Amino acid sequence: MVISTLDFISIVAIAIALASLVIVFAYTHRMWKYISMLLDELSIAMLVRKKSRKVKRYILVKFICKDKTDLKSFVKSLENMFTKLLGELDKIDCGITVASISTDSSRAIIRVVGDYRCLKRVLITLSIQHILFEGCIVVPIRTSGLMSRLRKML
Amino acid sequence: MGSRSKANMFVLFSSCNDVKNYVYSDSDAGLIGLESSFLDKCMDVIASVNENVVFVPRNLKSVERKSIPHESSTKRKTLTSYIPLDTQSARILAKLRKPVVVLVSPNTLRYVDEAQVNFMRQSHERKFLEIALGQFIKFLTDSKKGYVYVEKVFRGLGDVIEHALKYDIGIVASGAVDYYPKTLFTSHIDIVFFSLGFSKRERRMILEVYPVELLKMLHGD
Repeated sequence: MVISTLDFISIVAIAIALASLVIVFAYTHRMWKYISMLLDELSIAMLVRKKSRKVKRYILVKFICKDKTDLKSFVKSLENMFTKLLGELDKIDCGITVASISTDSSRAIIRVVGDYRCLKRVLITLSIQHILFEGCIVVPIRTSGLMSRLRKML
Repeated sequence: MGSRSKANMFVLFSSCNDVKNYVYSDSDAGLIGLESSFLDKCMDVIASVNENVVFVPRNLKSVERKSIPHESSTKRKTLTSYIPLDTQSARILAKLRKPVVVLVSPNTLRYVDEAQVNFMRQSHERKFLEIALGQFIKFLTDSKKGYVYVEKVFRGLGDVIEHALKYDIGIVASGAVDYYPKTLFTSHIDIVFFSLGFSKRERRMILEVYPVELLKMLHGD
């Protein structure tokens, strides 16, 4: 009985396949361990990355004041108000700064740099501050990620 | 900006000129609820407002176990919100065979809960919930009961709104905390709902769609 080359090749192929299966079964446990370790590391890396991600948002606000109130001094007192309502730590964490102010149209742009919760906190603080303190009413008009877009409305 | 399509269903004013100030400063408000006696008193000033704003005469009425609301025969149609003072009256209001607006505030949240929303859903007539958001903010700012209690109340509020939106029960919002400067503007109401976690569509329903439907119902369309 003569074995043709084609048969020979197929036998070798089967042998290799069996050998690889044996190797796989023998090392599955160890490989799974490696893979799970890699996955763990990846997920930790993703978590860490998500935590440190900072978003920069701009809020366009309108001030409604009584005639005698000075707008600039009120904007300065806003900082105090943020400390009182958000707390010192959160205020630093959210990085709140007044980016631009226009006394003619009594509008201003407030920059918030922080994680996604910061924007909500700052917006709600601005909304309820006139109920707690005397002074102007702050009406947030719109938020954007680009300052140039809000500058047109200033 | 300035489209005047949002509704603030109840604002308290101490003087007539404040109405003008409010209308000019809140450029989104197109539908403003005023106390009906105040509206009568300041008719001249309100008529001189040049903006496209609809003023709605409002009334608040407490309901107890034995005082079930009957058909009132007033000359002008006044939008009345009922404040249930116990569970039984809340249930009667939910089952009543006429369109009713029920007030949801920190005091009535105990009675107007998800179970009542379920009853409203089964009712044959259209029912509306009015969220007194100003009262909730007042509760938040001068609460001395601690954060856990405040959180519980706001969680309850969120649950009721979510449940009502799910079953298409009308919801409107009002922002009166105190007399005029201490009130929530329409954009503030929008922000409070945003922080409660409601989507743009849901906020639009609460601020623009349901109030118009409520007005149509009041005038019998």
